Amino acid sequence: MKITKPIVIAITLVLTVAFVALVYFGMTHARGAPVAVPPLKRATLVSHYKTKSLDLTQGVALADWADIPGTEVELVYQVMVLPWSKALIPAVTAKSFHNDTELYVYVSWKDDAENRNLSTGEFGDAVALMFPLADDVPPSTLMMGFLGKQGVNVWHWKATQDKEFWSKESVSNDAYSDFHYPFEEQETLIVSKSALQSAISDLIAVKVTTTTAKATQNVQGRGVWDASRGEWRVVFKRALSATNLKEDAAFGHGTRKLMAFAAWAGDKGDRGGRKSISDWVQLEFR
Amino acid sequence: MIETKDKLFGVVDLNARFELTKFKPVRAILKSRWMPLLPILLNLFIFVIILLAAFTGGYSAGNYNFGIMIVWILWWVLLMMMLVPGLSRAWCMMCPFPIFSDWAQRTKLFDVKTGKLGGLNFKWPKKLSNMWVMNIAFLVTTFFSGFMTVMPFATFILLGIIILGAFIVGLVFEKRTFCLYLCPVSGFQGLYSQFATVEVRRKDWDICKNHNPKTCFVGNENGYGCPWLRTPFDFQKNTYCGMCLECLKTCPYDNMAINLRPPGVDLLVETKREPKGLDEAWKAFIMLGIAIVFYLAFQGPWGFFKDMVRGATLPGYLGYIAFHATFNLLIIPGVFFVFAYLSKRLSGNTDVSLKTIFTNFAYTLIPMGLGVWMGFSVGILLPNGSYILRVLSDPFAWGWNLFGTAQIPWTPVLTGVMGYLQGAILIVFFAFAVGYGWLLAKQIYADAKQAKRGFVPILTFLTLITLVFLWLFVG
Repeated sequence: MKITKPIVIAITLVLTVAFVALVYFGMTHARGAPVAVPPLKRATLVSHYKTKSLDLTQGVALADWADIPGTEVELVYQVMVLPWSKALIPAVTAKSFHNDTELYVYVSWKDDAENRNLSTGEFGDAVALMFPLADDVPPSTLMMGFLGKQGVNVWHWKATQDKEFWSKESVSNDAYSDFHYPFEEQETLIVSKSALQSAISDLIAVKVTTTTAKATQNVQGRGVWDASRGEWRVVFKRALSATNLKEDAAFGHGTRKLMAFAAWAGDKGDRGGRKSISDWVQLEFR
Repeated sequence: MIETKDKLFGVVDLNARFELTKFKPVRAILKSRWMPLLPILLNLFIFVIILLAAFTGGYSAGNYNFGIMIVWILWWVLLMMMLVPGLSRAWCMMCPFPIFSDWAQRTKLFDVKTGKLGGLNFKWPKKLSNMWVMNIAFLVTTFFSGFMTVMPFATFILLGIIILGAFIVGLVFEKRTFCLYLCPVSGFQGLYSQFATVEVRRKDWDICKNHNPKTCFVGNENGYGCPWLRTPFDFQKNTYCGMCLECLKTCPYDNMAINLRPPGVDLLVETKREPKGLDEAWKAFIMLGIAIVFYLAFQGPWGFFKDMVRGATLPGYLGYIAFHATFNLLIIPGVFFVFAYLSKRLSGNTDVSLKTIFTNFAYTLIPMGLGVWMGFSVGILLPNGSYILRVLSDPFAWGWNLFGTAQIPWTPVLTGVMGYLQGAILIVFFAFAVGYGWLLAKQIYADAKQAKRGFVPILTFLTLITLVFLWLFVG
């Protein structure tokens, strides 16, 4: 058959209309034929109801957590934004309980070295919990930077801050240049910081590089490093009810809440965005 | 082949060739009509699955979609890291998209139809017989990168438009006009294939000179005249050779060869039929600019820019398009123009036009851009490659587990050293850019002194680009 102009025009019209119709059908039936999508298998951390409370001034005792089952949460490299992590903390073990007024979260992970000091090229170990403030969050924590306008509440425990807060020891060399420039009333390079209220920084963030300390620091915590087992154990403690719903994660008996973990190995160069992170974990209050 | 006395880095003989087709089994395979039909049919099968997966995937998560993963992770990385730098336009050889228009024109899939081909056989306008349309087509395609790389259905629409376009253009215009002048993917392959380590070339000019009619151009019972409208008996650059292998089949003297060669030889070639042009220069600028913008959007830490690219708000998205177009079409060429102008001033040469200096030195951005894209591709592959194993087993996300890999979790690989790997690749290609830049300087300017002075600004530009990307890659 000879291909003539009318044939080409007809073929073009038919194919174009067919393609547009196909696109329209696809756009209105986003997943084509109805498909039963199995729910995402998320790790679940159960926060058990207990009548006890913990006194963190006494340290972190294994016995307090012995009867609470742990949940192993796998971590992966943070590779969404630079700087990417160089080393991986493969997993953390989490436990939790709550009483009528307080929530406790216990996190432990393997780490051969205790890093509690800061210096040039020396960084501290750390762990953080992240709670979305909104309910409709993206299906993965990897996009921490895009959690919407409400953002997240982050509880960041740092081994260095823990040392400063609980042991009242300095974690870095006190050598400052131009702390007070002659003839200036104010610090020219601000190096002083407000008195620590906790070993844990209570933070909010809406995307990468927006992590900000909250005006009210509501989270307490403490960490110990077990040299014999090469393991960090950190306990977080916060009132069950939120002080400010716009900034504090809300909890309650019988409710569910998403959370995520991040951990830093200071001796491997982890700091800032160099960290290992988890996917969402379901926190269930029973 | 154009003989040159120049040696790359002072040691690499640019005339060195190793003929792969001197081995009889290789030549026999390449002369068979099953080549490249078999790889085309295989890719056609794969792309049918890609299209189905992209269509049924709709707006679902791209990382678990066969279409997204195979096209934007596997295919793209293979293209940039292996196919183009290694095998020139081997992808064009096995691309399944033009098979329908080829079939319509030839009325045969396997055998050779002698005589006039079907279709309207219009000639493509001479003014558009260059890379400009492809430059714009590729740039416009990247406006939608924030959707195509994450939303399966957007990938379906893109592939659908390309397939439909290839077919209709094939009915209207002669032979592979679509591949030559319209395909968005063709332009950068043509440009970067100048750096490839493989070429299709005639062997002995005397044989071609005395051979009439030139069957590689007009065809015979063994194969078609060059579907890419080239003259295989005398072309010197890979840019528009689609490696369709027809010339190997139609040459009765086995005078066409596939050679291994030092990378980048074509950068020094300038003939009447294949002149260095502003269209190719702009292609190099656009590719470099897109690499920067893509890095910022997909691997950078700037959330607001990611929001713009993925169209979180209409004003933001329009802002991205405006910035992207201006940056690639004006700013990068504009900055390079300043360095080209400085080159002319420093050289002291008054005979060579600024346009020649600007155009010819722009070819240094071919190895530079290829290195940048290879580095970018490493940044795609290592963190995301594990998704490929998953989608291979469950291409439609219907719960299949064909190869037992459907449950493999996302596993980034070697991301701790990734920046250094990217940096190393960049430095290697920076070295090629500098090496060829120097040889181009000697071609452009009359004597070595002028060339040395004139090369300094170009070397500065290349160094700055490398430092920018090192900063982006290594942080």
